[in-house]
Amino acid sequence: MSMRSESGFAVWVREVARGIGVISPVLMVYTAIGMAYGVLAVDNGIPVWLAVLMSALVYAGTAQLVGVQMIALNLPPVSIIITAAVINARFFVMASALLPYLRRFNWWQRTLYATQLTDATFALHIARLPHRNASTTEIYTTNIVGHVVWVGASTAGAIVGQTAGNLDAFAIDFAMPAMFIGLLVPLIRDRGQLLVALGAAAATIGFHALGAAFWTILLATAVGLAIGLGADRWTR
Amino acid sequence: MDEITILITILGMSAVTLLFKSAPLALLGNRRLPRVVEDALKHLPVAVLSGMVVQLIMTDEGQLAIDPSAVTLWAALPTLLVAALTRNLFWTIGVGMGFVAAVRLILG
Repeated sequence: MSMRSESGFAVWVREVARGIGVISPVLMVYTAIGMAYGVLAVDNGIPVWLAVLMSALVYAGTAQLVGVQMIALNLPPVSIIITAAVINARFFVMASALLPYLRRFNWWQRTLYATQLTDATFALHIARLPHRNASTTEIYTTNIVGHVVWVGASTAGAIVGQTAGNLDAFAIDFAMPAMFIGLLVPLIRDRGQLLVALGAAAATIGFHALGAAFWTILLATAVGLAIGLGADRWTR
Repeated sequence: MDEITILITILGMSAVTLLFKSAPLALLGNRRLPRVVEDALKHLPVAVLSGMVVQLIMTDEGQLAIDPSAVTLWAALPTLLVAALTRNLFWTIGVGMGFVAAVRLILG
């Protein structure tokens, strides 16, 4: 009996370690961007507790960085909320794409998973779940550790930021691009996917040039998906 | 903006964000999406990540801003190279940020 519970514990520790291993490279970026966000938030006159609350509840870097700047400009709350909705609408598509791999979860487990969905956890899990049978413990550990580090870094940044801060210090402004490049490149395995990447990149420039602003990612993603479907048909 | 207005704004941002994040997983459950949608979504990670990389290095405040003098624009090249060669996220982030930091240090 005691042997059995020990081995159960050993399995749990191993799965937790795996979950941390999966998210660990991203934690550097979450720490850097979370702190930068915290600094920016208090710089823009947002109280520390509200800056931390936003990290805990919204948990989406781009929307938070845009949000605090819009709050500082005293823009109407409705327009800030709509902007956040447009920026974060991509999560609806990401969650839909993850659906086939989270079928064994019941609805509250899926809902809990969804509250901690980010670009990075999406990219990590969409690369991992179709190819290996990751345990529930591993999956939630990845999500929880990412969330905790994000909120912790935001808190640290908000507290430190009351003294000084520069978003471009060192290379913090390149943390997110580097992370997305690192998540993207290993996913490109054939010519069709290369075409999708190049098409979405070109569409992003195009839609921005046309003034699509925060709608750009949604539109460019749609172009990428269409190219992907076309490439599938062509090569079939 | 006073604290209550900021709080309401944050709660509103959270509500819309959590709605988008959770709606498919909470509501669709075990229902299958139409075949063409599932096929299209297989391309989502590549499409959305590629778009976001470009948005991060070629835009500023929601406007197109391709700045040939920006280190962060050129840093994408060595970062892409390392990502392709190592396929390792640690190395990619480390070399990418290291490159930007080094160039800034050298150029002042």
